Amino acid sequence: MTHKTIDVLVVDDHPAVRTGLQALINAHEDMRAVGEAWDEFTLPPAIHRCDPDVVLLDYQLPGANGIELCRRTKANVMAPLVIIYSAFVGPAMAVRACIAGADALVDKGVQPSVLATTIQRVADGERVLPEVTSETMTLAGEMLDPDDLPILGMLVNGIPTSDVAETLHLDQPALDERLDRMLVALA
Amino acid sequence: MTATRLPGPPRSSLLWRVFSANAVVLIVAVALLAVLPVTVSWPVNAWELVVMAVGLVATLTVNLILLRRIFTPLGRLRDTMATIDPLRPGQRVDVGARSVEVAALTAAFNDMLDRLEGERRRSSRRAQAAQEEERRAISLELHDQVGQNLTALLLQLDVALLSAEGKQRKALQTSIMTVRDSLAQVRTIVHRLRPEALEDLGLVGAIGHLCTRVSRDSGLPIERSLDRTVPTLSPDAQLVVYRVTQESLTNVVRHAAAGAATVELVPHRGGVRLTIADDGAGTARLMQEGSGIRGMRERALMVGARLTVRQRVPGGIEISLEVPGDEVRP
Repeated sequence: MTHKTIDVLVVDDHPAVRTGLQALINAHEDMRAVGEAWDEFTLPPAIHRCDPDVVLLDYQLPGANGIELCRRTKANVMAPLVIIYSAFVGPAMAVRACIAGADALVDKGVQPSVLATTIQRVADGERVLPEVTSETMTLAGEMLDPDDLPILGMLVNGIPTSDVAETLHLDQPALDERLDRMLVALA
Repeated sequence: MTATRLPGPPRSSLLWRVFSANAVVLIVAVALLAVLPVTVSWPVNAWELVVMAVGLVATLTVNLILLRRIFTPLGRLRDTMATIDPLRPGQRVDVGARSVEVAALTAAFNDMLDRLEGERRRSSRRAQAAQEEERRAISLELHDQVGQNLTALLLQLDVALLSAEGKQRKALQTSIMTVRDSLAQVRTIVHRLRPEALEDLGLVGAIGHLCTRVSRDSGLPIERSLDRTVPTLSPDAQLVVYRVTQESLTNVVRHAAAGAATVELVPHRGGVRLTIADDGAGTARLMQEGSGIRGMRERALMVGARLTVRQRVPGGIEISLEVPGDEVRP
């Protein structure tokens, strides 16, 4: 995908941050900002209108947060790649990002150049999520239904949801329901 | 008020006890006078004077001993009242009172302690809730306003840097460094103000996370021994345990000049016990006087927990917090 321009949709509730992110994206030759959104209501139409390759999604939004929006976006067929961009990248967030199907989780404290690199890596098909420690897995395991643990294990190891569904003999709606249930348990 | 209603000899009023003591002494004295071969002639002679003086001294001494026995519980009550420490709740007076008045006074005093402790606990809980709410509001505002503006500024500076050259580039790079530092500071303050890890990870996870962060920021090795089987505490009690850990570790990093610290959380008498120890230079006496300890004690009070500070051998401080079983979430 590196030869093609990466279309990025910026989602943040803070106008100055949106402007900054778009300026940063447009400053790179291989990517461009194709639109913006700021909450759960403006995101779906923006995706429909702009058809982005990558959605750069702030975690802290009014109403539904970035994890929930990522999950909703990823539940669609032909969903764009999603990078969750958050000021609080903790171990629990990494687990939730995995379950929500995020392609990357980026700390707002990183250098802007790292953000740009992450957009490129994700567009190349890489997953850029922080490592989930065994300690966090144990904790998450205690909060989840034991039936859901295999799903968590596979997702954390980067196995795509379609393969997870096949391995567990679940159809997509059933898996979606389980993923939603897991996110609720971990919220 | 269980402590004052002791089984034992029946109680009588203080007046009656004093009166009976005096009466007994007088009756015995008169009886002795009647049966013993002592007489007083007129004018009194020297020998009779001596006998009378001895009799009088004996009477007074017996009287004094009896009265002292009667009034001792009052003295004990006063002494105990004087040693009650408002920061160590749960102390109650039991002076073994035999008189109605002293028993009533003891009961009233214990009752007052009950009410004071109850009120103090409630007002501390209100204060903690208000303080946490305030912290949450400040951290949100810091994050949403200042933090976001700094993020935006950082992004814009970075874009500007792409097309800048020479001296301008240098200046921009310095600005970027400053903004990054400020952003990091804002994030540290936001983290400190709001224990969101508590909501995300539960008490054990949040304390583990806190240790990791303190260790990373300060370079202090922190050995953890956190028992996952500890009972789940009430939200107030969880917050107390979290804040006491945070405050203690901050003290260790700031004042103790310690080489290492340990944090331990274990089930204890139906509740939990938290222990934070270091091998630094602090002394228990110094710590007792510090306002940090006072604040922790006040926090502990509101969930009926006991906080103790102990000097370790050869050096360092150990702080332990025992949260009772009645703070466990059913």
